[in-house]
Amino acid sequence: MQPVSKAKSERLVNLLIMMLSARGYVTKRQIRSTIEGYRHQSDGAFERMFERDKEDLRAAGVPIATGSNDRDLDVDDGYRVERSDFELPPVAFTPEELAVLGAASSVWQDSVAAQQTADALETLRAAGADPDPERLQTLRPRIPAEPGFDAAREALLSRREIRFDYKGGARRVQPWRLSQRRGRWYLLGHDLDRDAPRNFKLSRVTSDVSATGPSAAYEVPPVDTLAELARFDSDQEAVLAVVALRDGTGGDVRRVATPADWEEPLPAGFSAWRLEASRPDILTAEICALGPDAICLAPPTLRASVIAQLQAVAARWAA
Amino acid sequence: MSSAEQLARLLKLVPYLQKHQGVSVTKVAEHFDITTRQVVSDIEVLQFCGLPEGFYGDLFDVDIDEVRDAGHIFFRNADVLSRPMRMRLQEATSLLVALDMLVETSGGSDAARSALAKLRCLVGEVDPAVSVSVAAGRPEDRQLLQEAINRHGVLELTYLGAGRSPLTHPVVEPARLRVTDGFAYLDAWSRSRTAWRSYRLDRIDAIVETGGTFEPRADLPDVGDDWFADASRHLELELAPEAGWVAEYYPVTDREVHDGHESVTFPVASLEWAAALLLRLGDAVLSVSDDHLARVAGAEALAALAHYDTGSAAPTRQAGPR
Repeated sequence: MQPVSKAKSERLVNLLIMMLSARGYVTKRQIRSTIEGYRHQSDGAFERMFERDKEDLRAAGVPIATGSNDRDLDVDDGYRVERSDFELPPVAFTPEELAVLGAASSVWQDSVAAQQTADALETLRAAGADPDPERLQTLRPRIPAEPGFDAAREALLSRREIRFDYKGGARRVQPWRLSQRRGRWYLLGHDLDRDAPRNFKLSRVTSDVSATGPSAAYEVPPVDTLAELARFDSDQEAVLAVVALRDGTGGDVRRVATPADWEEPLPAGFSAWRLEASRPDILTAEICALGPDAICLAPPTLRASVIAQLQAVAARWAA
Repeated sequence: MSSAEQLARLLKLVPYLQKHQGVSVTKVAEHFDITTRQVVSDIEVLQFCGLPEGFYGDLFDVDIDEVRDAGHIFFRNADVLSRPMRMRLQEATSLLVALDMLVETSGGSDAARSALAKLRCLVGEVDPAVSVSVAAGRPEDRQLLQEAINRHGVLELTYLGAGRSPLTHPVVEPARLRVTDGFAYLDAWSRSRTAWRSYRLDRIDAIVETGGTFEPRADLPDVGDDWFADASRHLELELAPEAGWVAEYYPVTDREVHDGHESVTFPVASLEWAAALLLRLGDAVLSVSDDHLARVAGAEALAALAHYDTGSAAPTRQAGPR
């Protein structure tokens, strides 16, 4: 295999070192006369090589600034790499922290984020730290990805618009945030056709997710605004209910409920709780699932729909 | 391999080799997850790199023959690249999210917290744009459980399971903590049930150390995604389209769509769970493969209706003469 031209890699490293070590900006002419690989090229060939090399360095993350040492001249004919922008600041980790960093290497599953994490850990290793993947004894969390996750995240990080099919229609969305709840990925973003924020469940996206248009095309709203928007599916208001639960039962419903005051008498062994959900049908389902361990007390509309659903089940299945 | 990948690696190798004088080629290959041949090839490139002007003494100082023959690397005169390049946004945010997850789930570990804080300083103000929430119970519980696992301490849990299951007090031998699909679990041998059981951490109400210890068992099942592994029954439901979410929400073994109806097959761990599912779905359930289960759900619905003053007994199907 003859993968990468050694001459090119050598040229790129030397170009970087020249821009990094120079006291001011270095001009294209200085670069051409100094770097071995450029010296014997024709004007046109040099121009093309140099442009491509700059692109490659920038793509690898090298921050190349342009400017001129002569402030009176209105031309940016020089290049430099500011050391403080380029270098990882000094850092030292304790052995316990290195164990945690080592464990981080196995968190991401089935995503390019796994390789990116490995690359980040290599950077720390190059800085003298040695993340230890074997040491940490704790529960080993995993973050599984889903189709569309990598493309959506890549677009989000560079703030590009994405397109995909969802519930039978084509969507154009500016992605704001990806969040995982109950092991499922949700994308929160600005739906351009509806001109409103929307939550999308990635598992319901029925096409590839493709990015279009320029980078940095929009601003992402502040994090706390997003947290509020991500809580519920679109623009639903929270619904409240008061429920009587048989003591010692109620499972997950009781866990998210708060004690409520209830004036009317309750059956023996029951107490009143306040419940909240994003939609009334979710509350109806939760209360019905508890069978005779739960009684819906209020509001009347919810009570009526609980009774209706129980009657439907009884009518269909009771012998 | 692209030239960008090799470049990124070379820029990490230079500071790494300066900090690990005399390191073996094998070790470098292992650390950077590449072949030993690639390591040698990288050094071949680097021997012609260094400060400009190209005078002898300005280039990096590495003896390529020693690398090839003796298999170890001494790398000098490279102060100009003594530190690695900053992480790219994608790399920094991937590691941040992974660390954040470890902070969320480690048993109140200070090391996880401080490692995350240091990393944040290192990468500056970046928004990872990705958040992962785990229902992992209380940090002090996780710490207590991890300690009990380490020193083989027997525990009594106060546990309120899903749905209709009553409060229980299992005595367990804790074996493993894990996270699956956004929930943290304790895998433990239940002395009460004489079987392996999984307990969701956010459903554990209290943990008491009994003072006893146990001999670890060898047969802890592997972590799979099948928390219904011991399910012996299967349930097939025909569902109206609006209940299609069920197939995404619960583990299913089969799912078919015909005539707009969903036909979904579930592994069923308990009759109570399955009956609660029928009550939850109401009239979106069009048919049930298990008659006994259907009758249990119907009876539960009647029992629930008895709480409400619906004027008369619940309307049941008229049991007319056959």
